[in-house]
Amino acid sequence: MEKKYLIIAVSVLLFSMTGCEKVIDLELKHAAPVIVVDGQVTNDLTAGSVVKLSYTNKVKSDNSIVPLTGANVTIQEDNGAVYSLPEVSTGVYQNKGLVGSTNKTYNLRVVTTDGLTITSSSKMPVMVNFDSLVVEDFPSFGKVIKVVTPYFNDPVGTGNNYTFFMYKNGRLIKDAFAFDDVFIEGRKSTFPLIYSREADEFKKGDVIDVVMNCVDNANYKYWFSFSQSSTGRPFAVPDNPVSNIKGKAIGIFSAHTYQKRTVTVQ
Amino acid sequence: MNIRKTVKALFLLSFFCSAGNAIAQKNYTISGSIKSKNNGESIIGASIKVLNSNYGTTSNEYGFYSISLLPATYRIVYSAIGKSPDTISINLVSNTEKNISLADANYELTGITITGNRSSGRSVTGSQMGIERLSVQETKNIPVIFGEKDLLKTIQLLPGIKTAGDGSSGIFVRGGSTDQNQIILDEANIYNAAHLFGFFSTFNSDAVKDIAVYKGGMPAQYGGRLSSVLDIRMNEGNNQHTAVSGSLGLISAKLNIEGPIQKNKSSFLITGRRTYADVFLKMDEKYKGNQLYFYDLNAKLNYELGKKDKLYLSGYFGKDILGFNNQFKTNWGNGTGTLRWNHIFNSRLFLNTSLIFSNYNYEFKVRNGTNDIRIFSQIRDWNLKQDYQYSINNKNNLRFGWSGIYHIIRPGEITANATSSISNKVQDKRFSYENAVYASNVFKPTKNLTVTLGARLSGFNVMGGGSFFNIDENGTIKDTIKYERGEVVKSYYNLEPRIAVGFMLNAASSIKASFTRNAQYMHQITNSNGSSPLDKWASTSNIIKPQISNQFSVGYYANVLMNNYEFTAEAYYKEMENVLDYRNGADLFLNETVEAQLLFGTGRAYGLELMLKKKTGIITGWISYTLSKSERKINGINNNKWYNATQDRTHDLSIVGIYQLSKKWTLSGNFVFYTGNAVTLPTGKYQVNGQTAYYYDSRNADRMPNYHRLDLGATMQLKKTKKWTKELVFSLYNVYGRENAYTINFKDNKENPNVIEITQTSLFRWVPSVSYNFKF
Repeated sequence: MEKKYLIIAVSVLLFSMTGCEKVIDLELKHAAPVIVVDGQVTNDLTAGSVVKLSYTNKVKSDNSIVPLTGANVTIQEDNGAVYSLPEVSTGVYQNKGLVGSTNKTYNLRVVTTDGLTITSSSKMPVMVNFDSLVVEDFPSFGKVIKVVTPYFNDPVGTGNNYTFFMYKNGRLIKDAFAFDDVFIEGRKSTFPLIYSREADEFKKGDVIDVVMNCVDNANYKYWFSFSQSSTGRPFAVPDNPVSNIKGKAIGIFSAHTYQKRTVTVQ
Repeated sequence: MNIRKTVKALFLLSFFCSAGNAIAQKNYTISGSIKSKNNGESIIGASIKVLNSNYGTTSNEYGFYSISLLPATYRIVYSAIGKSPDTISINLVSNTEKNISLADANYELTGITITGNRSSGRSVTGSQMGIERLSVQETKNIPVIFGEKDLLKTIQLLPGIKTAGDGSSGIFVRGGSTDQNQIILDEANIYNAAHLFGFFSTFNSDAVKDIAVYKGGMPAQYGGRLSSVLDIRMNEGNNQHTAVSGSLGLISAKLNIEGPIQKNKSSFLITGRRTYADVFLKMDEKYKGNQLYFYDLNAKLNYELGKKDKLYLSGYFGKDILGFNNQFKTNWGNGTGTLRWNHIFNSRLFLNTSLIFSNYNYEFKVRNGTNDIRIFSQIRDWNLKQDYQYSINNKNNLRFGWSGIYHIIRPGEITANATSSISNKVQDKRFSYENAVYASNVFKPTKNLTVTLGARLSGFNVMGGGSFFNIDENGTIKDTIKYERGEVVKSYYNLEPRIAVGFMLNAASSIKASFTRNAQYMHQITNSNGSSPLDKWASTSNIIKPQISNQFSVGYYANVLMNNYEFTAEAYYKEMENVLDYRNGADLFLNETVEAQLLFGTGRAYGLELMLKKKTGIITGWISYTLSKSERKINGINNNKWYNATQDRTHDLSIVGIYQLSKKWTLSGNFVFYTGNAVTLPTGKYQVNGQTAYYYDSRNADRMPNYHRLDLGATMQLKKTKKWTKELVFSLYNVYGRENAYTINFKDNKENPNVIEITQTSLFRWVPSVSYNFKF
């Protein structure tokens, strides 16, 4: 995390020196489409449990999804009930009856129309309370920016993992935050969520929502590696995030708890 | 045992080479030291040539030379870069001491023609290849960014040595990574040779005498890194009179004071440099609370104990400081100390004993009331070594010695106040011994042939205490074993042959071939392409194996067109074992089980390096071109297939020209072109949890745009009296403002998040600078 601070600090520094950024056009190769699984089971009715299936698209196309339709999607809770997720809209598979519980393992099984089987499983960890969300000042080179800090008390014992996603005025900020508890074990976490893009800068009156998920280690790994090397920003050598999907597909399947807090920037 | 056998074989070999001549006629020796006349600095790599014969040698790192010859009358020419050569006649009937002082070449009087070998680096004679040597004097007119003279940037204009990035002092040598370069300052290892994230090197050119870069064919006295040795020697200090010099630039100010303690016998030198960009920053209200600067201090003392003994004490200390509003503060730096004792047993045997200390650490502090956090990491070496140079006879020169290093690493420590989120954590210290013995004999069986046979036996002992892990192939920890202090965890031994052959085709051209093996026991683990002070050094352990390289090279060397031009061509093939990379998604930050995050594999690099250098005349300079390839194959990366290394650049061209326009003006320019870096660009895109993600299917299969740039410089000699020298140095970096890509980013468009844009960040366009240098 400190490394990320430093990188941000240095980039600000370099650009303020002489750097310049411009939009360019590059010739890119295209890989054959790969199946992408974007699935979650949550303990929250509004967030719900949903599996989105799609294909990778050309880099230069727009960000809309190329849906994978007609698949047979099921989720089994531990060794018990099997929930079938019908396709509610193209590429979106959902069963409103499926609300996850902590300490239970969810097993995903997808069979495509071509007969390809894709599986994954994820255990919903215990929920750690999202105590509060505050706006703080964060010093940067030549200015002080506003950031939000989620407060929560990490329980004693290692192995707790968290992901955070931020919305500014209802719009998702394109930055994923993954924390483990190696350094904060048994303590109150007071780390700010530092967005990396100047365009996301918070101003007075902005309404910031933060979603906190308690996730298993595979999900932490996914989002940690995602934030390091798959965002298109050169923090590290680019690579695909470490996926928990088995079969010819990429992406993530996650059983996690869901909590949301909102704050207005003063 | 194996090792014992090889050592035995090695010594037998040396004996064998010399034995043939032992019964021949008795040799006598001419020996002494070579110094600069006007300041008493010893001259490294000066050429000692016996006229009308093929005998010759060069002065060693302390200016000492020794040459054994049959009794006869000889004429001997002493020459060095930037000096007027001196010729003496000698009737050799007994061992003779000849101390030589060479005067500065007076360009203005002679109309700038210098005879003899100006460049001691790429020499036609002998068997040494793969070496580049530059003196600060030679490089002083070459334009550099910010006008800050920097040897590590100038050597990037030579073949086989590539810059790690725009404006960077980091280098890749023959397809190797930056941590595979051994950078030593007065023999002390510098673990992080970069200031300000690599834009400046730690070497203040005012304190440095010369640099020798070995890209291959490393002599046996060097070891410990795969790709290169950068042997940097500090000035000793003027032993004739006190001299003060300095400079004022846009970025930094430098001051240098040197002088005799006892004339002709001992001297001191103190050089300091500090950047002051932060002083300007403070003038701006916006940046008032920020700190950003670095400084370094070089000091050296040398003292003649008697005719046969000389002591040198040298030290370096440097630090970078970066801080925001007193809440965030980080500093890092190196400190080194070297105590050396030269002892001349007799005209044939020279000994140097060194005790060396080296330290690198960084500290990172956050202080905001609730979270007061301090992160600290350190690497420290104690090194004792002895190096013997023995001139056996006119056909054999033996060099042998030993070295022992004790490494202490504090990998990471985090401490925080009670209200902080963070709990204190101190990683186990790592202790290790890195030892070596070596011997190498330069044998001249015939007039045209030189054969160097040498070997280095290196050993590494991983010592307790602390916890060590065993891991399976997925990087999962199987068990933890605790070791006591002083217990040996694991030992490694490597025999490193160093073989070279040189053959003179005629008086002006030669061919050479060499084989070199190198073992590397200290490794830098980094997960970004740039240089960061937080990059971690890890020692070889039970899991991290020593990296090994084998390099074969061949070369052709010729002095052409009346000795005014020098043409050299070298080709190499290098294979590397146990090179490391990290697993995808590795978290290296203060990670106790960092070894579990690593992957190991092999590498190969090959290339052709050409250079044409104009050594004399009003216009001097060179054209250097490298055609090369560097690849890695690491299980777990790129589907276990070969891929381009980050260091892979197909073409690399540099043109350097220096034009002595008049007594007053010197103009210079350099042009650089190289193939864009190998990078991984996405081949697909998808959405996951509302985030745009990119899909990558092969590592480093794409290229950044090609890089090219032209720099111009001019030096104006101001008033020059006997006492005062003043000059103004102007430079313009990137004259035509090429926007060279530093990074390429993919991101969602700010206004329309439904589309992405590809942006390129470039750093330096039209960087002008001026600096004022003085000396009295």
